[in-house]
Amino acid sequence: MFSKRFVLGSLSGALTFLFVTASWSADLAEIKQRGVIRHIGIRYANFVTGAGDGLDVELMQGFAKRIGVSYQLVYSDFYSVIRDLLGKDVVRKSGEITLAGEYPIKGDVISTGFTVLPWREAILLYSEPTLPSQVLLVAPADSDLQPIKDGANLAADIANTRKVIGSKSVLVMEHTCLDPTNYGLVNVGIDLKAYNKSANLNEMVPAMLNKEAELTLLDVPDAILDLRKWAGRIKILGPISEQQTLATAFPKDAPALRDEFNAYLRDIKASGVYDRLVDKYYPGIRLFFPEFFTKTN
Amino acid sequence: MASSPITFSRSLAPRWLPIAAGAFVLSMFFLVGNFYKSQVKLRQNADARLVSIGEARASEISDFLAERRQAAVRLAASEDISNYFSNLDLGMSVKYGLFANLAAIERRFQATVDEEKYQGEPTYLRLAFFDRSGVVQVDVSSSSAATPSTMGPNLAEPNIQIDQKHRLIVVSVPVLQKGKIRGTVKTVSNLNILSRLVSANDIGQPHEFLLGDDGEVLLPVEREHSAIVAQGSALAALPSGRIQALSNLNAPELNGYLALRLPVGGSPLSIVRLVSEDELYGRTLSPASVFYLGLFATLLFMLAIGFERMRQNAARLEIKFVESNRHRAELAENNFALSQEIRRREAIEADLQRQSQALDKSNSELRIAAAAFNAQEGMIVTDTKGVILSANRAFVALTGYTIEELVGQTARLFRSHMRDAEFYRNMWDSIKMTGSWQGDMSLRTKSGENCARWLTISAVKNETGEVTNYVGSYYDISKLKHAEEKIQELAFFDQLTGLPNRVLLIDRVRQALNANTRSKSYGALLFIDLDNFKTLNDSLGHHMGDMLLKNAAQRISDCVRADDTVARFGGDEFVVLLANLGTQKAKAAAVQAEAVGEKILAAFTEVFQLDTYEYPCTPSVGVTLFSPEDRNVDELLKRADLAMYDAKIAGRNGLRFFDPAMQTMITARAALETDLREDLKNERLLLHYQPQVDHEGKLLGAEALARWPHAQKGKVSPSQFIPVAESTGLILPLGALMLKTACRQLARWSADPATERLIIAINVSALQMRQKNFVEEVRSILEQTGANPHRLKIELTESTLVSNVDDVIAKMQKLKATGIGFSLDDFGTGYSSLSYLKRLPLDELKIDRSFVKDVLIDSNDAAIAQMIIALSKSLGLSVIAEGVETEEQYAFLAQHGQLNYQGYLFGRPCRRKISRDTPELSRRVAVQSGYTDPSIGRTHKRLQGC
Repeated sequence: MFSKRFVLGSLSGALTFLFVTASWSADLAEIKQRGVIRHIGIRYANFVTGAGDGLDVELMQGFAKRIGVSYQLVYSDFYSVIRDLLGKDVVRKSGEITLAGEYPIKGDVISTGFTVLPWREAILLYSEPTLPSQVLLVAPADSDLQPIKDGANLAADIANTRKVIGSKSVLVMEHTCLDPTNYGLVNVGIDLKAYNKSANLNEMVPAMLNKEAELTLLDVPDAILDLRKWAGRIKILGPISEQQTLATAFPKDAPALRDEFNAYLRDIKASGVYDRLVDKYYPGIRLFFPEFFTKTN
Repeated sequence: MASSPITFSRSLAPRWLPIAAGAFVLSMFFLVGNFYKSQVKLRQNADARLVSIGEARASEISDFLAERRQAAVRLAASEDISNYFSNLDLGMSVKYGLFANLAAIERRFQATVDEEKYQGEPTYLRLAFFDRSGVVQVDVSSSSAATPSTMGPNLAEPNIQIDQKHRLIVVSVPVLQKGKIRGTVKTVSNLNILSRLVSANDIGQPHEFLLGDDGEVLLPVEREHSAIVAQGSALAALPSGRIQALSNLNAPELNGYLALRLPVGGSPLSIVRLVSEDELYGRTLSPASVFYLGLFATLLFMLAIGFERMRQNAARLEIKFVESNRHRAELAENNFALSQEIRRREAIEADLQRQSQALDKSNSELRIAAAAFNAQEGMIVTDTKGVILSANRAFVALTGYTIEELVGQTARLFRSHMRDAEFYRNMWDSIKMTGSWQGDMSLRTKSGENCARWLTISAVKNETGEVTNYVGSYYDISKLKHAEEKIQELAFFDQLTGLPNRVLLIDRVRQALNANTRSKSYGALLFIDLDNFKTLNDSLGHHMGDMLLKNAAQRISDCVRADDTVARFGGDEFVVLLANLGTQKAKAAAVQAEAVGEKILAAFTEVFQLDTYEYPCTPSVGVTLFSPEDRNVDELLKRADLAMYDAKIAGRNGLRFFDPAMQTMITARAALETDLREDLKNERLLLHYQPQVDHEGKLLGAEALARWPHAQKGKVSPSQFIPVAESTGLILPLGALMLKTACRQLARWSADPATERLIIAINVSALQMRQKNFVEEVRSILEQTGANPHRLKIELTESTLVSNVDDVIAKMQKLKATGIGFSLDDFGTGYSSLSYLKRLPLDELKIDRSFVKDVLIDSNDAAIAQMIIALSKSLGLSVIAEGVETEEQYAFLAQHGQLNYQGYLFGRPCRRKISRDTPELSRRVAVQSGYTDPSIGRTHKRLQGC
């Protein structure tokens, strides 16, 4: 139930908009006034490790320091993360995105290796890219499927990888970067198994090895870690997606905060701080995405 | 008899000279003999010292090369290279998999190049990894290095090569994977690093040279000894371990020099020590020279005596005799001094020998200690106050600190914060009491990571038993910790279904209680028991029973959210924990919990396929809610269990709440839904009409309001049955019925000139607007009933516009094209966004009754009403105030604009059936009565209610 004071405030705002043509961009100013920035993160790979560090944690800590506020980490999961930022649930039905309900807003920014997807862009503001990614198809080492041979280009590699799937079951996770709807895998005859025991992407490979599906989707940052962790027990068959972009997400009505973050990101890329953070948490990823890091440097 | 010695002495007296000369010669022989022996001994000692120091030099270089070989072997056997070949064998490409392994190898090589130092200098110039075809996969070099990196042939064994041209030490070792050679690791070091092991050519010390197998002088680098460089091949050909004079070489400047060549084990190198005889033995006479000199002196002495005998007369024989005696005394004295000197030198030699042995032993012990200290496990040595004196390479690699950063610090530098001060006090008490301590310890690296290690601390004592140092060893127990975590995981999950077991469930319920205490939200526990499970086990066996449990677990899990917990509680019992229902109201929580319970019941309606059997199985579900005040987990489980038994008793395949009030509420709601469905089918719901008037009191039309006269319960409030209709989807047939009824009424009114211009406003819910065919349905009803669309006004609530506003606008525009009007109901109570308000094809805004009610006593409400009127004016919309019950309310609103009104002041909703009462309604609403508004001083017509 809305309080009358809130209603009065809303209507006053509406009238002001109508007659004065003022703007709403008090986002960065409000955070500075509050004195703390709340970073929404999901325990995922080395972006937010859950032990108080991670690539995105250090990025946001640096950003908090830059704008002169204290830093607070708020944990979430892939199902609730947008609700925790916007205070509304995302409803995706028949390709349409709507926001519904009223929930408490728990943070000011999502930074957690968050993939830039068209439906997310419809409701969020994204920063400049923080890291590239790609979704790969992974099988147990003893699988009879063989990795693809390198093709002429990425499109050929993706087509060859999809052919390999055949009648095998594929483990996916909805509402994340491993959501099959993002890559046209739904309703094309592929046996998809949604992993819903938790919203933690780190559990995909153990679940596949536990025979919950014959194959699994996996993103590059996770693949780099899992190739060492499960050495000799898994193999990468090939790419499922084009190269993706990970970025930090803001509410639509926080453009000043987003612009300040972009300026911060450009500064740390120029000073080398960004490269040191990437090498610390994802050693080897530069080898996989040489073009991105050439551009970065 | 007494005179005989005197007589004999007198008989010898004339022969005293030959006798004295003979004695003298004998003495000289004795003296020279001893002197010769001592000279030989001294030379042997000098030779031994030359050889032993040379052997030590060769041994140190050999040890250095062996260390390089072992280090290369360790790199070739590293886990990163092994992982690379494992993934290569799995067929992975460099582009999509092997890149990660190559990056790991490169990182390891770079760390080795950066960190490995020998006496302060970088040990390696370059590290490279080749595959079997000789293609370089990883090549890491120090920034200053510019060395060739060709592969060479595949080798079965480690190999050390000396690249004399580039002055490099190249170690090649094969990479073995499952007994096969898969590639090669090559390390490259600068040959000059060995210059620290070849002594500087100090004055008075032997010259040392390191030669290659072809005799080239590799060290020292400076070419000061051109003769040596020229004679290198001859020196390399010298027999090993033997001191050789160089007089037969064609190099005059090397005459008088001695050389010793010692080969360096495991390499083609040799150490050559060069020394002049003077430097080696000192400036003393040789034993032969001493002998000849002594002999010559003796002969001279004898000749002198002969000459003296011939020259001197008998008178001087006495003097000669005295002189001879004096010389003999001196000789004896010298002899004694010489004996003393020999004994002194023998003592010195024995002492030297003892010191040499002690030195050998000490060196051996130091090598063993150094090898132990540089083991794979991290080790540090501290003083008695815990200040670090030294740390080995493994510890430096483990912590990430350099040796310079560690020395002088205490263990606090890398302590994790997982132990409190009490723990460390107890640890040091134990060390001081027993001299040692061991235990589990978490170590924090420079980068902030915590590593699990088993720490052993041992006190080191001197000869007097006094503690001088402490040695700490950190053994890697991370694998053991991982195994412990795995065991713990097994302890918390049911092995058959993979679900959390009873222990984990209870823990999560406890966490949920704590969390809900903070958020003040409700949660729920659903206790599920499979009906007749024992019969299945007894008839078809435990195998089938297990199969059913697994399938049932899957179906239950599919019914809940990821945040909820489904646990196998034991046997055929499952428990679902809905940790946070997101509401602080018990009734709303009960409705949500019931929805999940019903979903689970529905999931069991399909039979289970157990191998070839089709087995029908139903569950009984007991539900208990837990409020923020509930703290006892056992009590909650007992309550859910009791509710489940209640469901069993009620005939199984059902759901029961523990709380009777909740159960009653749910049952009543279900009964209401059943009755509503039935009455809708029979069109027993009615419309009542409440008049709407303009600012002059002129009747404009009416709002159609749904009413439900229940056969048993009498009138049911819309606030009761509308939410039920919305939650069950019955709002769609209800809305269609109401629309159809209102249109029929419009058609009837149009036949009467008195009512033909009246408008009916009807509420349409969000669910109706979301129907794909809503526009077609409205058009169809208009056609069927013959109602004039220009007399129909649809009232929308703000909730309709929360989602998919573009679709709503499109539908509104289509209906608007047919003539239908739109009013926005309850404006100001919800979303109130101007962005959509401007886009909607609206005709009217409605001021909600909640604002009208207190418009005279609440300044906020008054301000809201004024703003809505102002907003409507600026947007060109009409505005209607609902819930106007008093003349004062009317008077206040009339001051701020020309509004339309609806409320008891102008007429109550009509109470009779529409079909029968409509003509009367139209007649009655047309009847007006006047009243005088004293504040305005003008006359209004007031409508009478139906």
